[in-house]
Amino acid sequence: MSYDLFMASIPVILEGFRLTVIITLAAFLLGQVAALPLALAAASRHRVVAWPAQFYIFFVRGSPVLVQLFIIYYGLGGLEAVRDSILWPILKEPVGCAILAVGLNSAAYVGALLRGAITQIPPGQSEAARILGLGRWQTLTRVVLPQAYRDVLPVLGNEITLVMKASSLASAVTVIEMTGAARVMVSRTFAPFEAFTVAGLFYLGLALIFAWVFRFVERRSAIPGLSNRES
Amino acid sequence: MTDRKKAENVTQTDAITVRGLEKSYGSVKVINGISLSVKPGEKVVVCGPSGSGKSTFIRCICGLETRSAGDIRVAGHDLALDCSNIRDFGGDVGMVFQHFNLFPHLTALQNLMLAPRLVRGQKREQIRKSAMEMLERVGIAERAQYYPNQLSGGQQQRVAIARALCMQPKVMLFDEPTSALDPETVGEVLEVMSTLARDGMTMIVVTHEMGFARSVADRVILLDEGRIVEENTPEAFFEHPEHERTREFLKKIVHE
Repeated sequence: MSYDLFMASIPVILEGFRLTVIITLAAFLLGQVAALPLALAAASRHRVVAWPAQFYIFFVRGSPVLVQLFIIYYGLGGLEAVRDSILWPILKEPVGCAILAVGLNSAAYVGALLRGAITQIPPGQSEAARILGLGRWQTLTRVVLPQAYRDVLPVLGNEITLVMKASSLASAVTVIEMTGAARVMVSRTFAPFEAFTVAGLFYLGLALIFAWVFRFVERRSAIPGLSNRES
Repeated sequence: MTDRKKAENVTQTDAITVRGLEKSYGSVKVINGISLSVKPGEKVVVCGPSGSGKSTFIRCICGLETRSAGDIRVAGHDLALDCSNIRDFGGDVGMVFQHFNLFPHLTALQNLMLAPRLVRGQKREQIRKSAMEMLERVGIAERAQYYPNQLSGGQQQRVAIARALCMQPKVMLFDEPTSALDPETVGEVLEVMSTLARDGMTMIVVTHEMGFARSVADRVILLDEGRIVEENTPEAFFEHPEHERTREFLKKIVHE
């Protein structure tokens, strides 16, 4: 291993760092936004609502993210309806496709997780809320979700790390994020060990930051007297 | 005023009216034709063996359980058969559960303040003040900032009672409020309930606490197999019950 090559890799890969962070955060956010309606639909008593959501979760979790990314990047552009749609500015860009693929994937995982947490809240909680006069929406937002999200928070910290790792797949559709930048470095110097080691260390550092942030949020939102309820 | 009109007037002002209540799970009838009228300020204790339908009965009245047939009118609200209009109660019907069902992510005080804020839309300071008064009334004001899981069962149940009272209910329903409690905390909850009764609250209490029934109830009802077996004053119920089934039940309760 060459020290010089190692140091030379750092600025090149740092250029991809920004895109990795953007893809990770945007995909995670998209996943969170889409996961909630997905979870609520999947937990519904009405089959017409529950089945499509459950099928989506099954379909997305049952196929590789890379394949889904290829479908979105190479496949959707071929459809005229897509090219005419308002989403085209996003789908035209490889970064947009990567965010969409990883985000929709994350939505399926988090949706399944959240569905489980929602159905595990004791029915007595909603009963108490409704007899006090709260409507369905108020019961959901004030009583059920605050508890469900606290339950899934430790797993969400894990999920953002998974999203970060999946973001490296964007390099397969020409995005020069960290993994892509490492490959650029390799093609220039033929030093894969140094380049990918640097990229790996940056990923690790990012994962550590996410872990810290989530542990902080977890501590802040913990319910006193209830710390040992889970696991 | 004719007698008939008087009779109508009485039903009009009943706090709770149940007529011909029936409830089935599939082919199993758990409630088999119950009718009951409770006047404002009246206290009715409902007891019966497990599986007699007493819990289902009280859950039907508060609209948490749908029914197969019968009319229910509580605190001036006619409850739809499918309970779709439960929100009309808007806190007029207070319910106390066996397992308290406090919101674990909120402090005792926040538990009390949630519904008045969201449902009644009162001012925050005003709600806070009346919530603190309510906690004082159930003797737990010093624990206002505690979370439910930091409180004993008896304390949690007192907070749950206070939470229901914050909505100024016209009727309070209790579903075995002391069954999940440690024996030493049962007394403090019964005391709060007795005070509430003395203050004139209309109450239906499902319980096996016969001492409470004796001292607080205006009427005691024995349910068995989804029917009212005996409906009597406490003295008559405990001293010389009309039905053999009641004697049997009381004997078992005493042995416990």
